[in-house]
This record gives sequence, structure tokens and C-alpha cells, in this order.
Amino acid sequence: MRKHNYIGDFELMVMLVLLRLGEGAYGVPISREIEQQCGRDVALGSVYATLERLEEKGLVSSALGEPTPERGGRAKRYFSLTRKGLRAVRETRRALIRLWRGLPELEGGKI
Amino acid sequence: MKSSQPPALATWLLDHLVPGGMSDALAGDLLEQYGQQRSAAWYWRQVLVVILVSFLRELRVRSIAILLAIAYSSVVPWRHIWITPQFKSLSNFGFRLPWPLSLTYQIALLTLFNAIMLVVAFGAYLAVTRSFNRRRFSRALLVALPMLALASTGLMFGMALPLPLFLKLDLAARLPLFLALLISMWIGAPSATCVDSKRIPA
Repeated sequence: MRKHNYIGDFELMVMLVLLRLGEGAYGVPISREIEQQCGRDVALGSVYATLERLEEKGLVSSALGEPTPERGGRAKRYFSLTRKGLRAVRETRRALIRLWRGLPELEGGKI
Repeated sequence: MKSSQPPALATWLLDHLVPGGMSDALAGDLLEQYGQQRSAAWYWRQVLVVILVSFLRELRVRSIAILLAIAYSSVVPWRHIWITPQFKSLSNFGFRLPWPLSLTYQIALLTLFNAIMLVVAFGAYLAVTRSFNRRRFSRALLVALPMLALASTGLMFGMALPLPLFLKLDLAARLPLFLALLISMWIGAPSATCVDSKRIPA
């Protein structure tokens, strides 16, 4: 049986946000997008902890940008999904759809 | 009215307590968001979450080092060392000295024994994990050895407390070595949370 990298729900959210934002994905827009799309406050520390974990798994890669004065001379770190990450998102989506199918409790969006 | 600068103490804590290569970018993100109408309370909350999350993460990453420090400091046979004639004669020599030299001598003796054990264990740990680096090794000892002396001093005074002997000899006596070993491994071996810093060309 093939070994899977299981993704947690917050990890999946972060990875989907990286896909939505494309090249401009760094901490601020990532946390803002999660807040807007999911309607929940997120701490930047949690977002970074998730991104570090995903980077360790090889699902996300990062690179430093140039330092800017409004950030106290600190550089932005841009994140993007790796091929492995994209594959993991696709596999998770397929698995979730299969699990979703044929569940009467979830039909009609009442829950 | 909101100050244009975020709380300096919070920024200092962020810079000094959060390890890893991402902390600089994270601090920049917080400064950027603070500049966009965020309050000082928000900034403090974010910094405290970052510190907590990174501390828990470090604990997880360093769990082997923590277990090794516990195991090593637990197996040092203090009771047996203290009753050997050699150690007794060394220790008795100190009792003949006038106060406060006698106390200083006892602290120095305990620190020296612990320091030898610390250097042996720490060196072995770096050799086994193949993470020896002379600068980091020296920096770690520079912090761990004074800490060891301080903890040994505390232990000497603690020995005067009316506590059961097993608490003093089997538990408290191991604390200085445990703390110093843990700190030296923490400082001297690189954290797995450090990331490389590939830069995007401007």
C-alpha cells in the first residue's frame, strides 16, 4: 500500500491559500486570506508553525525577498507549493470527495 | 492614539526568544500588520502566541536531548562518588579552610566534578549527532559553566535545608548537571527548526 502524507485541516487551508495567492504569498496575505475566507482569527505564529511543518515535509518551499523599511528592515519570506505539495492537495481532495459521497446526513446542507 | 512603534519589549522578546530562520520574516510581518491599524494589545497577543508555539515546537524537536540529559544526570552515582576516600579527603581539606573560603572551595569542587561530566557528555552528544562546531561548543560552555556554578551554589545552600537525604542526594544533587547539560545541548546543537535562506532576486 502506498504511503500517504496526511494533511491536517489547517495545513490544507494554508496550502489552498498558497494556491490562491500564487507568487505573492507571504505571512500577512496568507493570514488575511484565511481570516476572510474562513471567518476566523488566526495568529501569525500558528500560520508560520504550519508553514514550517509543511516545509519539513517537502510540501511547501520558501524564499526570502528584499528587506523593506516599513517592516523594520526585515525581509518577507515568500511561500509556494512544491510539486509534492500540489499532489498531496489533489489526493486529499479526492479522498474527501469519496468520503463525502453518499452520506445522507450531509445532503442538502442542513448541518 | 496609537504609537507608530510597536511595544519595544514585545519586539525584543520576539527577537531573542524565538529560534529558527523564520523568526525574522515573522517579526517583519507583525510590524507590517501593526502599521495597518492594529493595536498594541493585538501585537502583544501575537508575540506571546509566537513564543509559546515556538517553545512547544522546540520541546518536541529537542525531546531526545531532554531525555538524554535526564538519563545522564540520573545515572551519575553521586552517593558512591561522595563516599570514596579520594573525594572525602578533597572535601575535608575544604572544611579546614576559614569561612567563606571553605564554602567557596566546596562549591568549586562540586562545580569541577560536574563540569568534567558535562564536557564528557556534551562532547559525546555532539560527536554522536555529528554536529560539532568549535564556536557553538565554546558558546554553549560559556553559558552552561557559569550556570553550573550558580546551580551548585544553590545546591550547597539547599543542603542545609531539613530535607530527606534521598531528596538531597538523589534528586537535588543531579539538578545542576541536568540543567547545564540541557542548556549546553540546546545552545550547542543546531535546532531542526532552522531553515535555509534562499533569496529571491530583486
